[in-house]
Amino acid sequence: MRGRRIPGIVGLGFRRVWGRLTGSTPGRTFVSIIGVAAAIGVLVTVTGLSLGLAASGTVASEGVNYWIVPDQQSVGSTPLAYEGASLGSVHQSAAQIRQDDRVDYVTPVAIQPIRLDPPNGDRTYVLALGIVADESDRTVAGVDTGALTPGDPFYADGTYAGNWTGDLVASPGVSEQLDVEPGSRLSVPNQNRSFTLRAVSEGTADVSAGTIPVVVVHLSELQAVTNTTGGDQADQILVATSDDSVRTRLENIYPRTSVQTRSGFSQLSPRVTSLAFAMAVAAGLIALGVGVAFVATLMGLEFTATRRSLAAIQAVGYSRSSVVFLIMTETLVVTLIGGVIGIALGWIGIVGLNAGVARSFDLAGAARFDPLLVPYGLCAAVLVGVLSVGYPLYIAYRTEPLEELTR
Amino acid sequence: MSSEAPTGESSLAACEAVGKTYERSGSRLSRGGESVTALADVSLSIDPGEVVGIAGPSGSGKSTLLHLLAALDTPTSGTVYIDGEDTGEWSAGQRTRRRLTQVGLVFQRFHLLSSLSARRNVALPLVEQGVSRAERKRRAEQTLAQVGLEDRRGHRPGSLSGGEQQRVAIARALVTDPQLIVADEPTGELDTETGDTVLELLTDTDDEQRAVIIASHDERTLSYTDRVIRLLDGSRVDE
Repeated sequence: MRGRRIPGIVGLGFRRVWGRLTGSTPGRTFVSIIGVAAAIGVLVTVTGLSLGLAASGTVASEGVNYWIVPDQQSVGSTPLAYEGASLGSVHQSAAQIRQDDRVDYVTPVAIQPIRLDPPNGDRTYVLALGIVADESDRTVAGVDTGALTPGDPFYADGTYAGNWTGDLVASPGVSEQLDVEPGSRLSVPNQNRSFTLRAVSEGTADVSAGTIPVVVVHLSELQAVTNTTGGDQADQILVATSDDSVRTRLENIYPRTSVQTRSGFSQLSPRVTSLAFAMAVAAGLIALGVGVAFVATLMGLEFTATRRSLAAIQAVGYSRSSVVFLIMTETLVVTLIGGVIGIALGWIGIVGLNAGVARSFDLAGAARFDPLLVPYGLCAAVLVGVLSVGYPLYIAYRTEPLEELTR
Repeated sequence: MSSEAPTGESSLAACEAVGKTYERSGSRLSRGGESVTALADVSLSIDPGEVVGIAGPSGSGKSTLLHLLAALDTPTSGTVYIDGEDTGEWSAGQRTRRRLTQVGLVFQRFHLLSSLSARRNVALPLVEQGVSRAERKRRAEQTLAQVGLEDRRGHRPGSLSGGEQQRVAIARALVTDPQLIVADEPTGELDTETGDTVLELLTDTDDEQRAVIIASHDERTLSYTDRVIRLLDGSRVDE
């Protein structure tokens, strides 16, 4: 019989909260839920933005496990730095890594905005990724690179005098934006260079932070049109391997670089990006602070106003432990409902933020809704509940059944 | 039927020379508090099957005596027995447990939970007893039918009349099948006709093992009881 008590009390807690919400005076409970929802919504949105920032330094590619990126905290001392941190001699380094049997695929990636003149449209900036192509139909940033000539012919052992392929693969967004189809010629303004659209990838271009219209070209050709051939620069090196022992070797390729693993929550470390981490921590603390203040105060007021019902519960024979459990359940139910609404609000916030960024800067994906944000938001809501239950419990502790019932 | 000599250990409920004194807290300027004697040297005995009234004007100690007999409070002197056991020897937890299993409480102001339906209010003690959900539902509905409210089981207290709320409160007191029903001014907030219905429900017990104690200052209410214990200024005046 006693074993059924706890589920019964949990059910009672649910019923009481539901009853208050659907009754004639949902006020305090409703405001508590809204308070938690707002806090969790902000937490999810800001954390999503942090994830977007944290991930924005890496380019997603199928099978890629590691990214070698410059250490953002030591920009001035990276092997080569301009307009931020870059890696130098990347073709040579990639070739060196490629010799390792444990490595399936390696490519340096340069990320540069370039202007292209489409045959029938306006001159437009697009985000270009320069890579060393693989013989397989590998996707980089969601774009199938199979249409690129394997290797990087124009590089020609660092002479930049090889065959100019002009190969360009575009995401659907770019092809729509430029109004071009495979075979269209895209010239680079003020340069005697041009690219030819070889294919429009059906995949969604994903530069970690979300969907951004991108084109993929050969690295040396991108270096050539952006005048970054000097020092053979790129932003990162992608490495696909099924052997984790490679990581140690990768870490020794460049001094003061980071070897990152798959993007997402794992990147939320100060080493990877202290700004994103700081934002996430600040959002977490603010959300907890606001949430706890809201819930503790309003649930405290709720239980103060309904002391008589607590007293009645105790009078009919509920033990102190049962009352404590009931109050904890009710507080957690309120914060969990707030958490669920907050996660939805956070998702809306992220979508809205990305839409705003897309409209203002012609870019999408400033923030990222990682599925892990759902359990993260729920855990934060539970934490708000646990931290704020003290005051309602204090109210219950001070409630003398006789005093309340005879008042 | 009644046995007025203190036979605490053999009665269902009994008091032996019970006294209750409250310390009224003093003002900020005065030191200490003032002692108020609510009950003084009260003895009584209640047997199973009895319906006993406790009468007296406001402040006579009726509610205090009722709270002692319901194990809601402890005396400052004397002994209160429930089912032959000295309640003074019980811990707060034991008193709570005894209320849950042996005592059914009915208050003047009903004290139902406004956020729960009538059925769930009635089932409230059964949750703490660990009764299964299906059994809770069955017993609560059965008891509501007993008080004539089977068709109001889904209604919350706010949509019930005063009389209906008190009937729900009586059903809540009855649902655990307690040995002792303690009702404090159960008709205090009801009109005469509704009050009569409530009193009939409370006193119409076929259970030879159950006793009902009703505190009231209303003679009409007390007329439903088998005998009346009268209090004045904390002392019995009917002996």
